[in-house]
Amino acid sequence: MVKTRDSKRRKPVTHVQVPEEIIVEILSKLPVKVLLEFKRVSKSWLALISSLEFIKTHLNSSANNKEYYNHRVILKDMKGKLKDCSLRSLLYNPITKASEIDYPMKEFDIMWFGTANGLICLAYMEKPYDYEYGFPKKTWPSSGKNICIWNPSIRKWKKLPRFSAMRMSCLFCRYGFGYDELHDDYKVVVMFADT
Amino acid sequence: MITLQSSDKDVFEIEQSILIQSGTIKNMVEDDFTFIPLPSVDTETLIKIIEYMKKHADKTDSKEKNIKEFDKDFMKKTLNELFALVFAANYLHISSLLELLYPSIADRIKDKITEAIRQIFSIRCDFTPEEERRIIMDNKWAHEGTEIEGTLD
Repeated sequence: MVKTRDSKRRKPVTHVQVPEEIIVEILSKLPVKVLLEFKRVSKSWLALISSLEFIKTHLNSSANNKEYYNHRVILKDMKGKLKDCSLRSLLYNPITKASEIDYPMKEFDIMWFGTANGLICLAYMEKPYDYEYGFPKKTWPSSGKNICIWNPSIRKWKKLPRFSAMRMSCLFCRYGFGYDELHDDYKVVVMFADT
Repeated sequence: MITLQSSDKDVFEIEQSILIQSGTIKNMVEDDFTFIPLPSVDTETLIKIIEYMKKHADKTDSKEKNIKEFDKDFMKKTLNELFALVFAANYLHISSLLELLYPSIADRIKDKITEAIRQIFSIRCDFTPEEERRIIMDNKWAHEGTEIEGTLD
């Protein structure tokens, strides 16, 4: 049963301050590209979006989203170049288009060997591909000196310092990359044997 | 039956079983309140909230598809209305409605230009033009091909 009076003319919602907890929840549902654009809205938004806490909240929200709206798949094409496409499209559309992406050391042959929380660890050889019949030959870095961590969502990368214990006669290397929950940090592991 | 009163002083009598979806109301009912004033929720918004709770009160399996359709249509509102709902749902602690509203609002604002965002969230720009330029340059690729939507709705 409803008793009503004439409703008063309301002020538009846009004139009301939105509480921070609601802003955080809304922002955590946005794609990264949009969040980067929104950094310029105000100093408080810049601080919020850049904060470690928000980044973790956002990661948690995106990663657990079962509709996969923001998930991307990265693949290597026949020429060894990286491309990406939408996971949602891959799952639900008859055709999916992969597009070129910007990534570190594009001109060299790269190998990715670990991912964690949207970060990708790459090793690269500092010489251009060797091609054989149009395809890169598999000559993998036996010295493994060049490693970088890449965040494709924000398109930034960081080269790791060359590690000091390297011996030139190293036969082969194996790499690993992961998130260390105990220390809230990321670790790169390199194992190598020499003759 | 519980009586809710909006900020416009309109009253609504609703069954307790429907209203307990609101954590706030549930607590008050447990403290034996039967008349609950809601000074921060206006009539228009309260009507919508009640509509939502009524639909979600009966959560049997057969109704699930029906509810999903309802939710989809329920989000087809102006941005102003969605914000009014999010404030009310936040105050009333209706988590299922909040989980519906957050991505809907996010989707609605994601293509908007900076100035529209500032107006929607009532934010004053406190950057100097130089500072703002630096932020844009830092993530230049993100700003390319944007600035297409300037409405407040």
